Amino acid sequence: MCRFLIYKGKEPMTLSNLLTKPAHSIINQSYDSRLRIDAQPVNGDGFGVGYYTLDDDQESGDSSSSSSSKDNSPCLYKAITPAWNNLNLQRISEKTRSKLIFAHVRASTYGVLSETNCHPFTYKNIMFMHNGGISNFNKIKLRLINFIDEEYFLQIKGSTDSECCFALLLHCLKQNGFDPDSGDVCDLTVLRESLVDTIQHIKNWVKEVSNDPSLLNFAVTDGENIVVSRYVTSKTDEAASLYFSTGSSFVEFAPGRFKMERMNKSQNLVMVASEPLTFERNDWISVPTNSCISIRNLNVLLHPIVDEYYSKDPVQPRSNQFASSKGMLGSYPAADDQYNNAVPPLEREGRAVRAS
Amino acid sequence: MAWSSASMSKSHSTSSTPTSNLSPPTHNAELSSFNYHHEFSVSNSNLTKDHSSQFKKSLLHKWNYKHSILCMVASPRRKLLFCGTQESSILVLDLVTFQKKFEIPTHVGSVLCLHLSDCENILFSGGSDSLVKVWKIKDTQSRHNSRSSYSESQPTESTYDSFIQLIPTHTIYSLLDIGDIFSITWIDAIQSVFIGAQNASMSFVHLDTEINGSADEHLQFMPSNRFDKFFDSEKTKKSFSKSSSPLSFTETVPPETGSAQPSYTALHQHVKVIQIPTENITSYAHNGYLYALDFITIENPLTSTFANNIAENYQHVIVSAGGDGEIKLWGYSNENNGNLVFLRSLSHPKIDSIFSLAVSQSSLTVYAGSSNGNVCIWDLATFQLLKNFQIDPNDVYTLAVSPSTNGNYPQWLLMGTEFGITKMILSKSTVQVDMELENNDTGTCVRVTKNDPCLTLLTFAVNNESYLVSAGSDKTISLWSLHSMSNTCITCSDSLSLDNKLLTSGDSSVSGEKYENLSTYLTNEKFLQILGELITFRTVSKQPDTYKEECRKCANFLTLLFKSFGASKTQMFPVPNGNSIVHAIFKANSKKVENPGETPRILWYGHYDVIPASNSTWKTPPFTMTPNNGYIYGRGVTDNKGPLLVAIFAIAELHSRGELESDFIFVIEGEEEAGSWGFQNSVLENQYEISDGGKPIDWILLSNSYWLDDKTPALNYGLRGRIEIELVVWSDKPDRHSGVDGGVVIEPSMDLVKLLGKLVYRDQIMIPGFEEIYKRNKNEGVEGLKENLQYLEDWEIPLYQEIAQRVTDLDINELIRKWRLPSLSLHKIEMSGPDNGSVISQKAEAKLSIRIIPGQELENVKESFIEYVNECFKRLESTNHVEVKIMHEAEPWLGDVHNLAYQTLSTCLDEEWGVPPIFVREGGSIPSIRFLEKVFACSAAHIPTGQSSDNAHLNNERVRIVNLLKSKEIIKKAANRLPRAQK
Repeated sequence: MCRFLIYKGKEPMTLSNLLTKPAHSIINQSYDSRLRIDAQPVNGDGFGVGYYTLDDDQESGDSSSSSSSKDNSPCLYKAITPAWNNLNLQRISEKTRSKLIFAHVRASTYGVLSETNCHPFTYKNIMFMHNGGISNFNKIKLRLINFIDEEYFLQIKGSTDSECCFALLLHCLKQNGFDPDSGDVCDLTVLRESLVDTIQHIKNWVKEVSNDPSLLNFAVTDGENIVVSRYVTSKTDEAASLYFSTGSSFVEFAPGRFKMERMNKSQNLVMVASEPLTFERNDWISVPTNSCISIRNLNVLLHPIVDEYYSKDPVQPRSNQFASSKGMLGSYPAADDQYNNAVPPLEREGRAVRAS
Repeated sequence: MAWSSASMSKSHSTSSTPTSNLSPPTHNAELSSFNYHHEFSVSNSNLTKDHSSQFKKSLLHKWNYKHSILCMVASPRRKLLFCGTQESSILVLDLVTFQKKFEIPTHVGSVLCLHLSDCENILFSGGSDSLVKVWKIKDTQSRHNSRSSYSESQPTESTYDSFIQLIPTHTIYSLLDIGDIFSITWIDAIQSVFIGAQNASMSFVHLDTEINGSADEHLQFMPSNRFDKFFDSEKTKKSFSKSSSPLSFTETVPPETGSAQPSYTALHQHVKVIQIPTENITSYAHNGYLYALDFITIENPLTSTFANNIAENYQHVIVSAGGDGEIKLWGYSNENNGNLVFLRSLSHPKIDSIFSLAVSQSSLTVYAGSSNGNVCIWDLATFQLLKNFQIDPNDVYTLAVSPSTNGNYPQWLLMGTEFGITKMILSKSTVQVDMELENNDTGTCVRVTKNDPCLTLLTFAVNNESYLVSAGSDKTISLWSLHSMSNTCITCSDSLSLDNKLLTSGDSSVSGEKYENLSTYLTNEKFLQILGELITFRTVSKQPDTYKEECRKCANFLTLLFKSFGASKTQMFPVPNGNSIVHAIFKANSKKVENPGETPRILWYGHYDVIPASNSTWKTPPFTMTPNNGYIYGRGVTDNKGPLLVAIFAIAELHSRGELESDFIFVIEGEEEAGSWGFQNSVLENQYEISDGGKPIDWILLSNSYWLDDKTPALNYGLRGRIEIELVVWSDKPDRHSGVDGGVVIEPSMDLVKLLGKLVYRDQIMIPGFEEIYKRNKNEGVEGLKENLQYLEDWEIPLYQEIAQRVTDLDINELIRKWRLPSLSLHKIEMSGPDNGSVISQKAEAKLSIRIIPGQELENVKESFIEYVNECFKRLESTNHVEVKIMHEAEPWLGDVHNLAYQTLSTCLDEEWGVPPIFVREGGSIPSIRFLEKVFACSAAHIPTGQSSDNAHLNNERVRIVNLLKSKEIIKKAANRLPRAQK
């Protein structure tokens, strides 16, 4: 049961408002095991946060240098300890702000527990993460490796299916005319098409070896544009859950309780997440299965991924059994959920609880 | 003075226009001020870029609300404005009285869009709860059933009370998670509503669809309740064991208790719940949020050039726009129970995201407002992009095309951003942008408001007048007059020709045509505009050195106003060392009047002077009229310029329509706040003139007091009188030192204190003659009487009982003390000598006043007071001297609540307010009432206009606009219904 979360806003957001404070924050999601039907207690196989630093945080000398020498790659923080157990994460997140944040908590599907296997993955300014799993990945891994350029193959440091997908995406970007080494911002259409190409390649290979559906919720950004897919290689199954929320501001109206305020038609912030962060059900809307959501500036675009698994009928029923069996279905938090900032496992281990 | 310089510059600018026609034969300097106030002057015809200061003048009203308004629709027929708020409600505002009519909770979360059917009877609302709700607007009877006994006998209804109800009829939801509803449009001919949503889909629903399933059955599938994605943890495991799809109709999952809105169940008793049929949903109609929807109806394909005829097959074409920056056209065909056929997409690389759309049916033009201030104009005949320009760096949330009004006024495109409103002229037939300004692509864009964030704006026309409403994230709603904002020569020459006629026709033999013009001119809007002008005169009578000139200008203004309104006679009577009295007569001119000599003659008394006001202590500039939340603020709006202008307009309206059935005489003074200085002499001197040649006056009317509270209409029948006294005690010796002379002299200050001590004992005034009042012999022994009721006459008791019943939070005993008992107040004691702790003053002086009640004779009280003080002083055996100076006096007044005037007025108030008035008195004094009664040998009646919270004489003086408007109707009725007095 991986969970990911994406924030993009006009104003920088403090990480803790996304990661720790909200009742159903991504860290709370990581230990709230009640929804898991695979009966594993927690999602504790590491976590990662990637964010682009604010311009004024960088050294002033940088501004005069050319764009190629400017380091616009994101800052990455990964750890293999369970997210709720990581006091460093809590400390850092309270003091770190960014306009574009990727966060991921991991339950391993492929690959061992290691920092190199934690999401997000980065290459220059490109950042990527995955929620889901590729069925029978071992059977297609070699095909994938053989398909991609060597330079991207050499980037693979870990052993996960997700990282291979990232290498494939980089390859597709290059094929579509964008050089990932340039450090530039990619055209949104190219970014979206490359992500769809990545999905199509994987889908085609997987189809040949197995009928088991693969869950391909990918998120990619170049530091400016974001594309997130919600995709399943099946016409009858539901994809891993994906929600988004847009508005003018994300306000904490009671301790731990946030809501999205909508004051006008344009957006000041966009959040995309495997699971809603708040109780306000009207604030969250699910991304349709087999489609991708693109964020250009702060404008949300929705595109269907049309292939053999696309169903034209928007209400064609899909079963959520597969996704939920993989722990990939997000739940909507109920208002009576008793969350608090005192993270239970800490107490269980007899350690001091962070004062809220 | 800022004002006079403004009038100077204005009079210069009028020099290019035919001002000579404007001036009556006796030209004086004041006329130019009148011109200024009426904005006769033609302002510069060259449009500049920033007209925001000028535009402020055309603000008709402003409301403050506790939340942002996200969307609005206007109903010109009912003169109502419906606003969707950020906090789940629809707010209904009355555009005539500017009152909030009501507010009803509707959606959960924000109300994001509203749409009103062309017939103005069906309202649609869409919210962030993914629901579309349909409301029937129902007009209801204004009279309460409980008052049937009153209503049956009364043929006429109040002019300003309309009652409506919003009755929910349908709730529309989608099984899909469509997110926020951003846009709705309704095509009456096919009874279908089209819905644009956050998930980029467009759906439509026929309202006459047959409904399957009960409301309760639907409830569980509604976005807030349905199982779909929203299972909670408790039910999860159970639910997962089931294999059936959550979308199937057969599965029943009980809706979550507690989190669902309980109101749904109640609402659903009569509400039809419609699930959008799957085949009516177009997924990915756009690739972004579907922000805007509109439609074009092609009445006759043969005469329409729409879309180069590709759309001939479709009578209705839907226009949609969204976050993907595209405008799409969809043909609606009736086949298969209706379906949408994609026709054409319009896009431009520069356009990122489109937030707003306006479609001009007649010119086949689409205006689209998009991100970063881009606006583009498309021609629907050729699909050409006609124009693309940027108004400012902010997103264009909203735009509207002003209504075309018979070609009299130019048509505007109005665009709203976070920065304010910008207008652009559209020529009449085709969109042709005037490029006269050097600024590359902005054309004739003119910024009309600045730093006035605008989320939503709309234009509408009522009676051929067009208006603009805008609302923003600053939680305000502003109503503007579009005509006064379109400062072109056309507007000015129009008003010139009309006002010209008004000014020059001073004689009584006016043509019928003129009546017609004047009666259309006398609108409520004009009333507020002229009141605004009247307020700008700083007519502070207590500071003659500074403001005498302002008072002169105001008197002139009123005189000219009477002339232009058709008064048969109007003049000013000078007051030595004071402000002039304005006098005017309107003669009965109704055809119903058979014997002109026998018509009732009514005298209206008012005043144009005001109490001082300072900018620093007011929230708004005191001498500028500021409208807000149904009130207007400004010095004099309630005391007395507002009620005075109400009376003038009431009579002018009747007279202009040839419906005045009485002779109506105005006597307006400028010294009321300074104790009506010189009024009596001047009236006595001009008594013959005032009464139109010595003819008898039947009634005196005035409106110079307030209701007891904020909701109970009242008539006033009594005022106390007032004597202002200075009591001086002095010694023949100079100021002395207490260390040197203390103990050897009788000190004047001590004498004064002893005298003062004799005046009042406990709560009674000790002056001889007053003891009569305190004799507790009336009504003694009547059971249930409270302490002070004994002071009342028998006929008064029911009046007080009525007050006690209808006005809460009121101590009747206190009222009786204020209204029915005299009072003596000590205002100030002054002593001579330097201000230190060892002076024995040579002179001590006290300022006192006594309020006396009807029944007490002013002269007797004065005499008695002087005598009593002298006697008390004699008993002190002092070596000092005493003197009593009467500084000012006002007679008490008591009206006869049972006379014909009060009976008639009571009926008029009852009709207008829907409840009979209560009868009140006031503790204060108006010197001129009793005086006028005596001089003209008739009875007065006093009609309060404002509410108790009006802050008359205080900071932030205000009056509720509906009180002014209703008061005008009351006076109109009274002027025609008051009979001749039986003398």
